[in-house]
Amino acid sequence: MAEPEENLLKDYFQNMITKADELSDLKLDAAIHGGILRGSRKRFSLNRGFTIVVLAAMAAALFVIVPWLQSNFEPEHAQLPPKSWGEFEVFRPIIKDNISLKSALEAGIVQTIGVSSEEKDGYMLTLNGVVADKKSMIALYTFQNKTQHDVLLHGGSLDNATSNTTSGQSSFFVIDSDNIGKPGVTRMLIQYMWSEDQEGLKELVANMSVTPQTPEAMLSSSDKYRTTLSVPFTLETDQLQKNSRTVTVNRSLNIAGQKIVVEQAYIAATGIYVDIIPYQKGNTMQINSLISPKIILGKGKNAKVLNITEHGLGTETLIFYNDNLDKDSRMTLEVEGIEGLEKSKRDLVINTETSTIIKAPDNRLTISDEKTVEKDGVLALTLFTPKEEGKESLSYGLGISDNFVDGTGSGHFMFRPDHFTYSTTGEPRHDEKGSTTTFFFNVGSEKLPQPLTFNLTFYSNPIQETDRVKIR
Amino acid sequence: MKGEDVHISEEELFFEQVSQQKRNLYGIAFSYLRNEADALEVLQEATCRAWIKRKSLKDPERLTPWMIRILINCCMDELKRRKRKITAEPQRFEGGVMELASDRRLDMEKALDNVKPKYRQVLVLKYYRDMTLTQIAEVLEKPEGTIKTWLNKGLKQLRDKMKGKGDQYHG
Repeated sequence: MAEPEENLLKDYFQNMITKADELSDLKLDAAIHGGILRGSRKRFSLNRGFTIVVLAAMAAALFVIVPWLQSNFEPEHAQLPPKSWGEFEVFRPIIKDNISLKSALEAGIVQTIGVSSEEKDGYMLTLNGVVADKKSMIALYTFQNKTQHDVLLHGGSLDNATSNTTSGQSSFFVIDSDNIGKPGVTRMLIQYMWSEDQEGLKELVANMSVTPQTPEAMLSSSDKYRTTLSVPFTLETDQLQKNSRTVTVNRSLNIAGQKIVVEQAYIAATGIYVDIIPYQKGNTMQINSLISPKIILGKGKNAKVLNITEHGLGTETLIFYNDNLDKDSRMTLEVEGIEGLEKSKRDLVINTETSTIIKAPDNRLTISDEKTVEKDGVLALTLFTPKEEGKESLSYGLGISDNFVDGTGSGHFMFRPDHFTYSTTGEPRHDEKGSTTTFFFNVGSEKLPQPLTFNLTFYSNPIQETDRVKIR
Repeated sequence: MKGEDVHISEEELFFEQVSQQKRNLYGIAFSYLRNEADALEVLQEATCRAWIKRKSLKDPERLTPWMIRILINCCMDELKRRKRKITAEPQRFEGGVMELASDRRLDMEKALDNVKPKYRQVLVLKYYRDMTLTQIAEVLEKPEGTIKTWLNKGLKQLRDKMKGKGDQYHG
């Protein structure tokens, strides 16, 4: 019989699960991206091919396939001579791709701070300037490492100085990759997403932790290696309103007969935040992704393209760069298509004993004999996605829900050998024809009445059809 | 060019693998820190440490237990730092908004905070993640017998900490 403590613990943690489930995918993905970025000590290049790996576990969520191939501005604009950024000129090498910040600097709406932390253990942090709106704040920092060893910078957070509560969470680091962590001076920008409504926010403390890059320090559970630097500063709160506006849109993108409602756009200093609703009653498809969403600013030859930001792959909010120098031009959201599957095609019927696919959306899916560490009871499915002419980005996703039905109609759950995952994804293989990825599902080794019917939560099926919605 | 593709793919693959566990990882962090911003920061830091040390993971299939271990280390780091920094601060929730928390929950939080960290991690994995002792042993890289001992000691500590509230809940 369970002890009373056990029941109390279960009740207590159940409440925690509910709480944790409320958090948006956007914040979680940003944290993971931020961790990888922080660890890799380099920035993503927006000019590289960037292929989104579709997440089986997130298949019900909507996210976006981004080509990352275009520059953020058309070439004629990129060739304009740069305006001076004054004291922030030293940051130019690290923020050249962040159009929101770049245009904010040129528009003169970056608030100069110029406050330093006290020097601790040979480290010092200076907050040079910030630009903020009600969604986010971008901060420009200078970090001085006067020691002889490389360090890792982490723990970027903002505390409300008056209430001692956390007000913002760093979501994205962009750091001078040549110098980061090395002895000497490092310039960096950090973008924070506000925790909640920031009405009345004024007195803040920016915190940053420094840990030497040694194996013992990196994996230690002790904080004896960690130095925390704090910079108190005052945010000019009128910034939050002055350079932003919310536009109600309430129009729909219509692609392949499917409607995606564009609710509103918050156009602000740190970016353009577009709220969308992809799930509509009348839609015959389950829409998983938008293909190449972008904002077109202006029209005709003078039109500029504003791409989605590195952390703007939201489920219900898309975040684009903003051009703070252009507050009046026509603004249009353009989408080049959707990743979607007819709801009637979501059943995947397989005889796992004879390794035969009986029903699938098309013939790109095959059964593979590849193995994972779990020798038995693993269904390996290979998805081939042909390469399209002139396209460098391919999606190669497949998602199946964690339960299935056997030949007699009885339901079963997939197994989770490590307690968390019931599926794994192999390394994608690319050739001139396209990409091939194998997905492994732990259906279990029990002999079941055949065939088995699975539910596809995601199946890579791009439909290329462009549509636009005017935002302003 | 090919080298670049491979590198990008590794990042994306790692993102995918961690992302599949994101709610579980965040949930564990949240159960320790009870604060959205801190839990997100710990998730970010654990991802960073895992990314840096990914080559040391001999069996990629065991990424999840390895990530959980790193995450729990990060949570403990943060709790130590918090204890040192804020000694007399009242319990807070994200955004500084105090929820209407029941006495029972606050008592449980207080009791959990005072359970030894190594016992607490077993309680979290067992009662929050519903893991078996074998699975917890794998995550924490300890013998199953040790985990069983830690679980019993953890429950006992919890019971002791909650004594006095006992009439309220045990009756």
